[in-house]
Amino acid sequence: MKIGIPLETAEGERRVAATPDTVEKLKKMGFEVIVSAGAGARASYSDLRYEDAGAQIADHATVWSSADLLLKVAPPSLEEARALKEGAVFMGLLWPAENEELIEVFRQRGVSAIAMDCVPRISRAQKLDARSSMSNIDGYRAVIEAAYHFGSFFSGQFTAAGKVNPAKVLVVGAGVAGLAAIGAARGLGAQVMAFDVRAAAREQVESMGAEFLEVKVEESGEGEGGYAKEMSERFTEAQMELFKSLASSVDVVITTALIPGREAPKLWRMEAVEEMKAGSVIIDLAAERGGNCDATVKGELATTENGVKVIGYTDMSSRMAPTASQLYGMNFVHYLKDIKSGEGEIDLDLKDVVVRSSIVTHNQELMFPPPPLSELDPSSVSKEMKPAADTAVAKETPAAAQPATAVVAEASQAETSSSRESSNEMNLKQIIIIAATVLWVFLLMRADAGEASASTKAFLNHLTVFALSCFIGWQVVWNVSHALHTPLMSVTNAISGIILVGGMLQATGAELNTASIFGGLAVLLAMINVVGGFAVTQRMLAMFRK
Amino acid sequence: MEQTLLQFAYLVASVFFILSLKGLSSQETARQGNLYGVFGMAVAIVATLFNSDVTQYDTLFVTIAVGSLIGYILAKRVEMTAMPELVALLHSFVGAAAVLVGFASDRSMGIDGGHAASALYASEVGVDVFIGALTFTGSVAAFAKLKAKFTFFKKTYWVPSKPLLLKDRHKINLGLVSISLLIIIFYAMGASGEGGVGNLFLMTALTVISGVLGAHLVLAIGGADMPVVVSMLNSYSGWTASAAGFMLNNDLLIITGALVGSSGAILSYIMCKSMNRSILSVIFGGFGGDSDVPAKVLTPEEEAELAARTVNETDAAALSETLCAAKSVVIVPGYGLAQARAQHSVYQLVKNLKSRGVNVRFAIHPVAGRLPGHMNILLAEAAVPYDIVLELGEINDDFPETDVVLVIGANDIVNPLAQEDPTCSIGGMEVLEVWKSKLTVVFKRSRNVGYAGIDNPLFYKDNTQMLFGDAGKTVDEVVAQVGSR
Repeated sequence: MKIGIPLETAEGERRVAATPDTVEKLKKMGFEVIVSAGAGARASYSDLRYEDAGAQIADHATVWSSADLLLKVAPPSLEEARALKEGAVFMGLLWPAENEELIEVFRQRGVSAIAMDCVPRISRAQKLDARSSMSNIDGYRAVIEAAYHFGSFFSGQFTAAGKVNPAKVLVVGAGVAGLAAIGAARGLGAQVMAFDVRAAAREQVESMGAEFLEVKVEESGEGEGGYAKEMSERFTEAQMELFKSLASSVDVVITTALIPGREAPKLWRMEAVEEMKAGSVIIDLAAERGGNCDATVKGELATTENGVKVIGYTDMSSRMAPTASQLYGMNFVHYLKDIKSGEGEIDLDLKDVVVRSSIVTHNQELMFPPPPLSELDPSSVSKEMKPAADTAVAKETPAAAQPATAVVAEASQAETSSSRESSNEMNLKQIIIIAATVLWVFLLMRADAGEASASTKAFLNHLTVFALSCFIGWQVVWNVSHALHTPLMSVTNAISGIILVGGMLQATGAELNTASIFGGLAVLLAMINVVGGFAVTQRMLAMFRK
Repeated sequence: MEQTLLQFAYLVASVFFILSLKGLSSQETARQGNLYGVFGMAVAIVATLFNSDVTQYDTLFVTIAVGSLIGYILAKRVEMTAMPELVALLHSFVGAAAVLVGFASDRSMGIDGGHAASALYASEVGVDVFIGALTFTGSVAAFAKLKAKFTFFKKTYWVPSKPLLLKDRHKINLGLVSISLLIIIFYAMGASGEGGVGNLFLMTALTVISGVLGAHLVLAIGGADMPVVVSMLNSYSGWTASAAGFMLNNDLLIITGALVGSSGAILSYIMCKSMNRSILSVIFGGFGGDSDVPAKVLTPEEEAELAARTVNETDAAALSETLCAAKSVVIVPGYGLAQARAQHSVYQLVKNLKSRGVNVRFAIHPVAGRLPGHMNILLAEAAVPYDIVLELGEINDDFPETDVVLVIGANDIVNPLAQEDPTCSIGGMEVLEVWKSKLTVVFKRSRNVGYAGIDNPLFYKDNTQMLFGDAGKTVDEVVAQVGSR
């Protein structure tokens, strides 16, 4: 199969769909590779290096017309799409929901088009998820752009001439891009705060060394119809309030909130922008989709009246073209490895979740939108689903559910049903406990009423003591940390040597008799246990140190 | 001694035991907790000595002295890698002691100066002997399996770690339990009414039968499930003491036994949960290696695919280079580390890497090793500070940001099949997600499958490299390479 790597013609696009390194990998897999002259020039990869890697260099038109499989970065123009061979395979970022005309061209020409942006977010597909690898770069680059336009240090400094405070960076939306931004900003020494509506993001944010912000929504105390909706409105309001209050103190704001297939939510409103200090920087990574900030101008650096710089670049990853191309190229390599059917041949298996989710047209049929992931592979939903990172600040589920959001809803449904199950289990436990207690009280009352012998009464008392002790043991042991389980075991082992008291009690009478011999032996064995257990525990515990 | 004073002393001892368990909940208070246990035991022994019934001081002093000496020597000489064996052996002593106490009670039952015979009392004795014998032989079987190699008269015997799975083992167990119950009933009937006495023959029969049951239960369990078995036996030894307490009308025994019993039960429960197994199947034995799901039949293509998989091998030199360039390294130890006694070498490696500014941590799976918390003990022995030793839940999310993971002598606990294939024998078990890291290096003696007997796809992943050989030697080599760099 011949793989074509064309020159990217979209404005400002510096990336390329394969680097000399990934070409070499494709060749190893048995593919032929043909590259447009100058395709990698803007990503610092010369034609010579492609040739060294085993690619054939050709002119742009030849690449389009001769490729059986075309790898591309940005969506192609309609003319380019028409130049593709009939029945060829196209792979690239397509954003099918927005490029209907282009998809229609592919469909008519019988091209199998695969949208790399539609790869499902399951762990198996992580290595071929182009959105993740590009978002990572976006997040990093956002910080670098911010640092460039921000007129001060990111890290705090104490100089002979005076002190400079560290920059305060706020990251809104802790998805892949957000987390990358947090990491980069922390690396430069800034003080970082992050916000995300998903509570699950807290741990990730904190593990990156940023402070996790929370919205304090007052509890209204009633929950009549439409509660969730009302809650979400109240939530949004509180969120705006929070942002407004932070605006005057932060130096850099990076917003990364996207909802698949929809316009980006407006989070950083004009009120907040107005509160900001002159010279502050806003980086809007959602600019392509209308932006998270009211003041964003798509693709440009705008300065507001109060001197805030608002950056709406849409080509962040393209600004790091060499690495972006390498990672994106590797996404293709991994994808092709997954669908490879032989030396240099591929097989588009529609039963494969990844293929089915990302394929847009096939055999002149429109395949988009794909069925929800939960139908394709129910097993992947519960466990493998990673939180859909870029839906971070989504406040409502879009009506035309895209795969990612649909799955989030699915997963949360599964969660509720499992919590319901566990509450059923709880009920059963409670019933058993209540029944046992009732039986208990009944037995005690019968015994008290004088219907039982003294030894039976004693037995019941012992049973009470036994049950209480079990309860205490239960309560105490749950708190033992895992690392101490072995010492716990050897201590309880030593303690269970208490059986020696039983042996001692047999050593009665004046002379040695059968009972006291048995008792004595029991004491001997139990004593080994007691001393051995305590001594070895002491030895182990002495080894633990900080 | 006054009866009230004795009761008070027992109460004090019980409180000390509770404080002891509580003390073990954190590293800071653990040593104190152990001391509380010692106090509690001392109070209990002294108070019992002052009990007016106890008269044969010479016997007691001799047995206590000899027992203490043996115990002390055992504790001082045991190697940390052999802890599971020691713990199992000690459990067996509790079981044996309980059986002996039961026999003593049998002998003193109904005679002058002894306990009056009654059906209730006799059945308490029966239950005590039943649990005691079961604990005894079960622990001995566990000890033998853990030790695996015995040398008698210069001849070496091996105990297979494979489970002994008799065809009708559940029926056999059921039969043994029913016979034991019948014996206890006969025994109780013989002791009821006026002039009832004990019956040494029935007691011996009961001991033998419950002994066979105990050994059979444990032998049916595979080597990898030993942590659960050992903590289960720990629990049994507690219940044994409790049963003796019922028999002897002694609240101290009941309380202490119940504390130990519930502690062991909780430990087993935690183990089972992390292996995704039901606790019932542990109690009744023969789990692991016994799967209701038939082995997956592979199509020829799948088989060919399996055969075509290759592993990436690496060597000490390349690995040390990678390690020095890494920022964050996580080490996952398993039973192989204990076998190779490589904990000291591993810590040397950690120290070398730390001095180069690499962030090195340990990830401990709940069932790594042959004893709950086994790995923690081994690492502590090598003086690894406990704050870099993390549990599964604490570290699992960090793997995607980890540069290199070193898996040393572990297999099933890092097997992605547990998540991918719910029907396999470890399906649903929580595992350390090492494959999410940038590079995983597996130290392995050979290409054999783990204890669970299933293949590990981790080894064939692109971002996994294998370093074959004895873990101790390979780690030493890496240490040397890193040191000379």
